[in-house]
Amino acid sequence: MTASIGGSRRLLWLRVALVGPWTLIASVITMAGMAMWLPKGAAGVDNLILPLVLYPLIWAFFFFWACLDSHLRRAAAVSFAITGVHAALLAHHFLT
Amino acid sequence: MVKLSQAKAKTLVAVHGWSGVSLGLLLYAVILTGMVAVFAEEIAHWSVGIVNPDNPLAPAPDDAAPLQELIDGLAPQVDAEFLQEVALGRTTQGHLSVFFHKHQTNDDGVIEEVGTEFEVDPSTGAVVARQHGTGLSLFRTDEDRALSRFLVSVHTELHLPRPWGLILTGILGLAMMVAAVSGLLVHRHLLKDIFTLRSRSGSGVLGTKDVHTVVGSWGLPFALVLAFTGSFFSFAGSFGLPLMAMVGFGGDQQAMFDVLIGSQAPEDPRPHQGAAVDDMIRDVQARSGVAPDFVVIEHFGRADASANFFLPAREEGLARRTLVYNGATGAFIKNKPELGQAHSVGSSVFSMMGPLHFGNFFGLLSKSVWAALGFAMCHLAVSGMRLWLARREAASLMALRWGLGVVTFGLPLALLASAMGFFATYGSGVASFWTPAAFLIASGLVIAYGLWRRRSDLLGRHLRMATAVACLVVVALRFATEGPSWPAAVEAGQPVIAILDLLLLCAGAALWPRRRKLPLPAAKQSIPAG
Repeated sequence: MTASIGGSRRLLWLRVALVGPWTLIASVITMAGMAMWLPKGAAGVDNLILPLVLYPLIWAFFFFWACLDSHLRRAAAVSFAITGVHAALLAHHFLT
Repeated sequence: MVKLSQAKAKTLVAVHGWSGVSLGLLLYAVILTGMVAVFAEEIAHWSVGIVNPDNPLAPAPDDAAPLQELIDGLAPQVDAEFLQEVALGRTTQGHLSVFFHKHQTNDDGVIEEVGTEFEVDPSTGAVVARQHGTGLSLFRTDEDRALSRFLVSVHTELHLPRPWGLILTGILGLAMMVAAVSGLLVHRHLLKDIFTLRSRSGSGVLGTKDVHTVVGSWGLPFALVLAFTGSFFSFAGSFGLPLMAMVGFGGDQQAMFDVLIGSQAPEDPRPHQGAAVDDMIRDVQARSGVAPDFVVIEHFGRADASANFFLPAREEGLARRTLVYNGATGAFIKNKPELGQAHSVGSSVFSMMGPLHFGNFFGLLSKSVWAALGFAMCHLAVSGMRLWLARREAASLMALRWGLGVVTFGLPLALLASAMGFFATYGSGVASFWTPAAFLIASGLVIAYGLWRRRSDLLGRHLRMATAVACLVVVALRFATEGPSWPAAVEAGQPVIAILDLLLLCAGAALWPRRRKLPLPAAKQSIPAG
């Protein structure tokens, strides 16, 4: 019983970490990384402006997904995968 | 409505409550000051009295070139290094502002404008003031805007230093978005709930809950728009733009600004007498039907000079336009969007963010609607916290219960005190200091009184009475400090002075408590499930 309570408490804190600080980090990295694949548009600025404008929605997506997915591992996997892809795009941009 | 499992609904109810309660008081402060800041321009005119209502950038009669003659006369009085660019605008007094400046990167790595500004009386052409400094420092010391600037600063940054104030208000915008979305999702009977008021008076826990639900449901689209656009402005201003400059331009902010807002004329540094700005303004009027309210001439006095004429937002619907001319020849070049050199999805979306947040796309009418909806959002923030507290009786929540009682009427009282501080010191050159100082002093007094009467049920009633009296005192003080009478304001084409006075008097009358005592959030009352 004690182990179960301890385990659920640990899961709760992991979810809080995923919903709170990690969501902020993930949304900032994703916003910056989106500039790498979004089309530049007629003015050549869409790839920079659209992620900036969409930032609150990007954050809300990560937040609600992390809150509402009943499987913590799946919620974390989705968040890490999206963030990882955008971090890799940024690393490729700055290192090459 | 959206069908959710019991566990998910429970999670969303918790998210809705905590997102509102954890930042609710600050959120209330931002929304309340935002409601006031919608009228920042009107408040600036109201606070300084009768000003020249005409646009100094309106076209001059045929063949006359008073603006160009003025610029040509002022330019030799300025150090050559500040003649890179000239900005023409309208001051709060209705004078013409001519700002010769250059761009430089300050110690914090931020690009700023620095140069000499002349304030010119457009009716006589006489220079009434001359100042030197950065664009931001000149703006911050502008006494005429001390009150409106302070109100906007509390709204956008909670009067905290950058970037922390912006980051905090950005987080508050996100919290508001979470509260709105989760509030929508947890409703099982939204269509029924938005018409349900079970208590006639709207008071008591049941009445508060119904009013909260009805106001929240009807105001949901507005809450989402405000939260989305508000958090965009806060985050873009604090870290978004520098980050995207790093990604897109290797950290070169000047290069980013050149692409986003510059005219991108081919470089040609040869000296060249520019075309008359008055001729170009006449062409702007002919093409768009309106006179510009702001003009920037880049590469002033060079062959590659470019003149940008910004059209007022209220005349242009959601998207604000800029007409670009060749500054050397006076030839029209293009109709430029706010961002970028050509119209695109990104520039269109960006152009809509400001009008959607400020509600300035249809003049006073749209601003009034925005302010009214802002008032509804204030009610949501306060009633939401009252409901959350009514469900709980923990002693640890006493501080929040007390804070809610103090802030609900204490904040408007302190804002009114800032207006008193402004009127008492305007004209003596210290209004920029005393406007925020009066706010802080009043806040301190309200907190001290709240601590003294913390156990009294009459605390909220007393603060409400004080706020009502303060509304009347501000109007009286405006008259006492030689503010214009209502007939004089209307005759001068500034009915907004009388309108704001009347609004304050009505607010004072409405706030004066009736005989019935205001119910304070009581602990542990039963609330039917929503």
